[in-house]
Amino acid sequence: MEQLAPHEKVFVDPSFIEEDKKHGNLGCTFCHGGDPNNPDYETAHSGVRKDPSYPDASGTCGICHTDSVKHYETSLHYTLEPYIRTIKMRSSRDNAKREKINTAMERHCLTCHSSCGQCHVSRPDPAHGGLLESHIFKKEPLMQEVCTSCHGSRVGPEFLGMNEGIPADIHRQKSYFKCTSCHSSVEMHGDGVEYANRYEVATAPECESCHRDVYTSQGENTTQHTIHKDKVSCQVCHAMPYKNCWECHVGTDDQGLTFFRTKATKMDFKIGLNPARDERHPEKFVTVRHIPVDFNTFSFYVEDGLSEFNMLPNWKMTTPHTIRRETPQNSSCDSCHGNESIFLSLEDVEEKYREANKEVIVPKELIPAKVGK
Amino acid sequence: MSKIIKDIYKFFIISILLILFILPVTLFADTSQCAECHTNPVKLIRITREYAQELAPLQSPEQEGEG
Ligand code: HEC
Ligand code: HEC
Ligand code: HEC
Ligand code: HEC
Ligand code: HEC
Ligand code: HEC
Ligand code: HEC
Ligand code: HEC
Repeated sequence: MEQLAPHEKVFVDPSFIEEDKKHGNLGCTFCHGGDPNNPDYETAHSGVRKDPSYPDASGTCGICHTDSVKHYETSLHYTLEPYIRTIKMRSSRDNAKREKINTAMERHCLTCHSSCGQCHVSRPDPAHGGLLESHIFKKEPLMQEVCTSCHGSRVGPEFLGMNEGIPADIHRQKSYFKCTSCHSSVEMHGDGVEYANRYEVATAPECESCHRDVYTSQGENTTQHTIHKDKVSCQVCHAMPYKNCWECHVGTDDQGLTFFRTKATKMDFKIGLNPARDERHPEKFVTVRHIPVDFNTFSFYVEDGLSEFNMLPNWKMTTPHTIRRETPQNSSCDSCHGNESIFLSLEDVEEKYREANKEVIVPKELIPAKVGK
Repeated sequence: MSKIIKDIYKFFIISILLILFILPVTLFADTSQCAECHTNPVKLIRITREYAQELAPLQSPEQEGEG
């Protein structure tokens, strides 16, 4: 997406001040501080809070929006807890090395948090910021300016059909869904539980909550759905190929500016075993995605910093946003049953990562046998 | 209507109008300089140009691939 021009990023529409009776007439200093009587922009801004909703929103938004702010600090967009935890698990146990990893994390990963303002008032900073609509508060965060400007490598292009040869998600194409059609404010605002993994979030959407008929006689494919209930995830049959990334390495250049380099991306489809079955994800078979982190992601900062990399798999359970009614693997029973090429096998995984992925790789004997249909 | 009454009337109207105009400015004086500048694209263009020269780019041009 094209960046806003520098002046557009900070232009405030007069109608925000005159017409938004809830926020606009509170006065800029109520939220931002600074000196409103000083006509010199350089000194007037001293003490200004660029984002009045981060890290603490209780004294600004929280005065009125007590519900939205209540669990803010447990929202994964605020804490980025899963990032922190998984990198910690993969990190060397040596404290000096850990320190360096933390520095790298701070610089490259943890800037990608979101705040009330970053969803409702401005574009996110990692996507060059700037006011969404000249400071007008948007109830529904805009899909492309907000959500997919952060979720812009995998989920965004998949959902919108921007990967060559792969159509848009059926929900986008048929019903013009946006992210917020399925992802609610309750999920985005947090619910007070400190989740360690994004798939633990209890308020996340579920396919069955809208598709109530898939297991009933009203459904059009009830028998097949019922046979596979709780054994095979919906995406295993309904997802088209999705993006897999390899070798993301981060560093800084001569000027001290940050960069990342990813080696390769590949559109692919793989079924793996679910290493963490839970109530919301009881299935044995799920889609898995190769993630960009590897042993050397932080090598610019420290050698062997991620020495415990293999504590966790790097083919991870995923829920691709490439849903279609008809997919290559569901076109017949035996497009899937007995089709070894779509199940994650030992050969798909580099040797040094096999141990890490042992709970995800599908042993040949678990691949369902052909049914002759 | 006699002239004097007309004049008083006029004076009255003008005073009310003046109050109506000044009141909001004084009431919201708090935001005046902020709003004055942030709602004025011409000013913002000039200032952001000045400012942009001092600002380094955020990300290195050495970036490659997808994040
Ligand atoms: C109710 C609180 C509130 C009030 C009142 C308010 N703002 Fe904001 N403003 C915000 C939030 C939240 C953001 C988004 C910050 C972010 O995402 O980084 C923001 C962002 C901005 C930005 C963009 C900052 C940047 O660098 O991206 C500007 C400029 C701005 N406000 C100016 C104003 C002016 C001028 C006024 C008064 C007319 C005003 N604000 C009143 C809450 C407020
Ligand atoms: C002085 C009280 C007050 C403060 C402070 C305040 N809001 Fe609001 N806000 C309101 C009211 C009142 C509404 C209208 C409520 C409704 O329609 O349900 C509202 C509506 C909203 C909406 C929905 C917009 C719409 O058009 O319906 C969003 C989003 C929002 N506020 C975000 C924020 C954020 C973010 C902050 C902090 C930067 C903030 N508010 C600070 C009072 C406030
Ligand atoms: C500032 C960047 C940013 C913005 C804006 C953003 N996200 Fe996220 N989102 C993230 C990051 C980073 C994570 C991963 C947190 C983790 O796993 O530690 C995440 C996690 C998620 C998750 C999984 C965790 C959960 O809380 O359920 C969902 C779903 C999600 N985002 C959807 C959205 C939607 C929908 C929007 C727009 C309304 C959005 N995001 C806007 C960066 C962003
Ligand atoms: C990751 C993005 C994201 C963040 C961060 C976020 N919100 Fe929201 N917010 C949403 C979504 C999505 C909705 C639902 C929009 C809809 O229903 O159309 C919403 C709705 C709202 C509403 C309307 C009432 C409601 O609950 O549906 C208010 C008010 C609001 N948010 C305030 C806040 C405040 C205050 C914060 C910070 C504590 C915040 N939001 C942080 C995404 C976000
Ligand atoms: C048709 C409903 C639907 C729509 C529309 C949708 N999602 Fe999702 N999304 C889901 C479901 C279902 C999950 C899996 C939740 C779970 O099992 O915990 C999910 C999971 C996620 C996750 C976490 C898993 C992952 O792959 O990283 C993110 C991030 C996410 N969605 C972002 C988005 C964004 C951004 C958009 C808009 C471009 C969007 N979603 C649109 C239904 C939807
Ligand atoms: C918020 C509600 C909602 C959620 C959540 C949702 N869907 Fe849908 N889905 C719809 C709607 C609406 C349609 C369009 C229905 C139609 O036009 O017949 C649709 C269409 C579909 C279709 C195509 C059906 C057809 O007849 O063309 C499939 C397949 C599908 N969804 C699968 C899923 C899967 C898998 C998930 C979970 C990842 C999911 N849906 C989550 C609402 C939802
Ligand atoms: C074993 C493979 C398989 C699994 C698992 C599966 N589906 Fe399907 N589904 C299909 C096939 C095949 C069709 C029919 C496609 C066609 O019309 O050619 C279908 C059709 C559908 C339809 C449209 C027909 C209808 O009944 O409304 C929806 C909606 C749907 N599936 C949703 C889901 C959801 C939600 C899940 C997870 C709970 C799921 N499917 C799991 C194979 C599967
Ligand atoms: C995209 C993949 C996929 C498709 C399409 C598919 N299946 Fe399956 N099926 C599986 C997997 C994986 C299992 C293994 C589940 C397990 O081991 O728990 C399975 C298991 C089964 C089982 C055994 C269930 C049990 O554990 O008792 C039957 C029977 C079956 N499938 C029939 C069919 C038929 C008939 C069709 C076509 C109408 C079909 N499947 C289409 C993936 C698929």
